[in-house]
Amino acid sequence: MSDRIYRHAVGVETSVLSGEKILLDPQGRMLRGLNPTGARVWELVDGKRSETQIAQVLAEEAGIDAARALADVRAFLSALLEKKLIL
Amino acid sequence: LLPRVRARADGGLALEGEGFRAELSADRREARLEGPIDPFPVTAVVRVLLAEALLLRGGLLVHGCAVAHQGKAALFTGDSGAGKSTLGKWASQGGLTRLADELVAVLPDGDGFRVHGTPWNVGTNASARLTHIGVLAHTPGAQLRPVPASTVLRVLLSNVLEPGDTNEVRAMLFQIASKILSVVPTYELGFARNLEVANVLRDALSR
Repeated sequence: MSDRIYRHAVGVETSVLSGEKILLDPQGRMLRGLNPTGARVWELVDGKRSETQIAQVLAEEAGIDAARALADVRAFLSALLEKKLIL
Repeated sequence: LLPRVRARADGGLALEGEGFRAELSADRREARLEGPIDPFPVTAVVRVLLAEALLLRGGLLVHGCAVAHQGKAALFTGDSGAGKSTLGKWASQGGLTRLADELVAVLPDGDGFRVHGTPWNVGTNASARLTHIGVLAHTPGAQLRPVPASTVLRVLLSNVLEPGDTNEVRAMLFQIASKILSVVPTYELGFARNLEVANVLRDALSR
């Protein structure tokens, strides 16, 4: 499986309400709330870090298994990609 | 309540509602309407113009009911049938000021926001500082309970009048709504059709 690099889609709006990060898709029609881990992944998606690098950061910060972190990051990013929130 | 609003390339707006069409000039000084002679198309144009004017000032025009007491206001929004008019009626009968029960104007005011009555359905030419904002629920008894701001955001955004169909307009609405909900506590107001709701709101607004 390739180690993809993603960036935020142009036009995605973000806000933080009561500690929860909220994304609005570029069409302004769909809201998505992120839990703290999701919000951290969103921060790490910068057009430079690969999926593996993002997972490594998470694994170190959360003290979890790197392989599991990578699987979770891939699943999460795949969902964001499907919603056109990242490219 | 609002016609479909499409931004034209020249900066004007094209409105299309039930049985009428309207074109607004780029400077918003002129509106041409086509349709039956009826107050509704004119009102629809005024609503769009007001929604846009509020947006440009960092405010919103919200489908909702706002009631006030001692200079403080609570604004509740919800889809059609949620109970906005019913809430306005009972709150008014209970001695609170019904600022508006159909469309509420929200504008920045210092570090917070202020809600203003509008003339549609039942409204009052007055304003008050926004201290409570939320969504409505039908419950056996009146109760006001805190809920996450994100819960209110979803309902609020679906009940804000959009004075245009561009991504830029929707982004502005999202940011303004987020700002309001980051400084004004968020609630769910449950109520039945009786005066109890007025007492609950009076207590909350008196604190």
